[in-house]
Amino acid sequence: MTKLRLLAAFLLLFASVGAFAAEMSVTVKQTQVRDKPSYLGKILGVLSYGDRVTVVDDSSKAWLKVTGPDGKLTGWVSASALTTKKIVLAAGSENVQQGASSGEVALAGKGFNEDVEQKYKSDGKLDYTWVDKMETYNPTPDQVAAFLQQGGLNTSGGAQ
Amino acid sequence: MKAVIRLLPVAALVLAFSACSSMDLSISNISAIGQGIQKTQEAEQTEFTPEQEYYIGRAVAANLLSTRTVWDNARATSYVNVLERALAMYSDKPETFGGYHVLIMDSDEINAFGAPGGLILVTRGLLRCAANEDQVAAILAHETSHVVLEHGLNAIKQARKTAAYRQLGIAVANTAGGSNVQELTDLFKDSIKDITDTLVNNGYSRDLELQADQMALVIMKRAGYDPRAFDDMLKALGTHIKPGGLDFAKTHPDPKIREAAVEKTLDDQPPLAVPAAAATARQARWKAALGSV
Repeated sequence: MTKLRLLAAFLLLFASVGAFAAEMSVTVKQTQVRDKPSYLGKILGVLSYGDRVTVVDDSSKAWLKVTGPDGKLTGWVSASALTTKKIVLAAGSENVQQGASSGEVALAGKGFNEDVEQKYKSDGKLDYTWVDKMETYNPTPDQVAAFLQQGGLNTSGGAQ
Repeated sequence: MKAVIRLLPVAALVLAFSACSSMDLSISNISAIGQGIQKTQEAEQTEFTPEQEYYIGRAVAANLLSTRTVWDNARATSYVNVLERALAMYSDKPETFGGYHVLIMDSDEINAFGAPGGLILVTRGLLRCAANEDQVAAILAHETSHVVLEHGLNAIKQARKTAAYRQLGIAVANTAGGSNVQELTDLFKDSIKDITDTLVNNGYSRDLELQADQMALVIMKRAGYDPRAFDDMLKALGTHIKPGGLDFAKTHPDPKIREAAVEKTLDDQPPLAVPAAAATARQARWKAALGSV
């Protein structure tokens, strides 16, 4: 009987090898981790491009509860900021040309990247001043919350 | 029975190892696997990554801005960016690689462009057609929808995309890096031209415009705006655009066609009641920000 128990434990262990928790990567420059599945939730921390997270709750379609790479930060991130692919960043380099192999892996800085932009910009003598400037227009969550509230709009803070 | 129990762990181990044994790890096979990986790398990309979409969008915006002046009005710009954020968070793609941002162009032309990745350019001429905040929301929701639906990327000719994916694949396999920057830049340049030609000269197909309209109605409704304002905006456009004009008139279907499709969707939806205080607040902030547009 003891052997039977041992066997059960062995098979359980064997089966558990395939059942690891889902891991995802941050696919945007930066994303906020919040205390609830809403853009108006309190910001607990920030994750950056390529950060690996472990999904702990995928019951909502638009939001995923994740644990950050350090294992400490846990909270809600918009599903649109995450990908199932592993994003490989080169150590010490923004532009990665070398990386792993399968379709499950996306390489940061691959192809159409900063190098290509620089060359394109100088070849065409294009001015990116306003493009860079417009990217700094980032309303704060408080501004957006007040805007929604005062205007009698939806204050749930994002599709669920 | 005891013997069977004794044998079971062995059977389990055999099972475990048989899963591995299907992979022949002889030297010749390792090399073949290596080549396979390289092939996979070269063939793997079938779409642009959000990061690549970001660089495409920046270039499209830079091109559009090369022949247009920016209306540098802090209050108006801040207002349309807060409004855009409020709408984007209710879209199906609230976050993009670099985020959604809006710039107002100092032009009487009636036009707006939603560049890939979320860089939205809108003219003073178009904002002037809007009679209230809800109608400005309609304009931005439509452009946001083009971004969400990746219509800009779809404007890149298929043959070019195929060539680009091939080059992007080589960029992965080529560990030396940088050697194909020239080829990539050429493809990049042609891809940007495909998109700007579509945005400025040819316009999206009628189907894509109607798709963006339908998605805009959803975004507006989710955000708490009455989607009927979208229909009002189309009616206003109908009175402002000049047939045969070189702006919106050239690149968008006749507002009447769009109105018919939008009204069909709105038919079964009851009007949205807005509390008086909220309506007053919306009107006041719209006037303060865009009163002089």
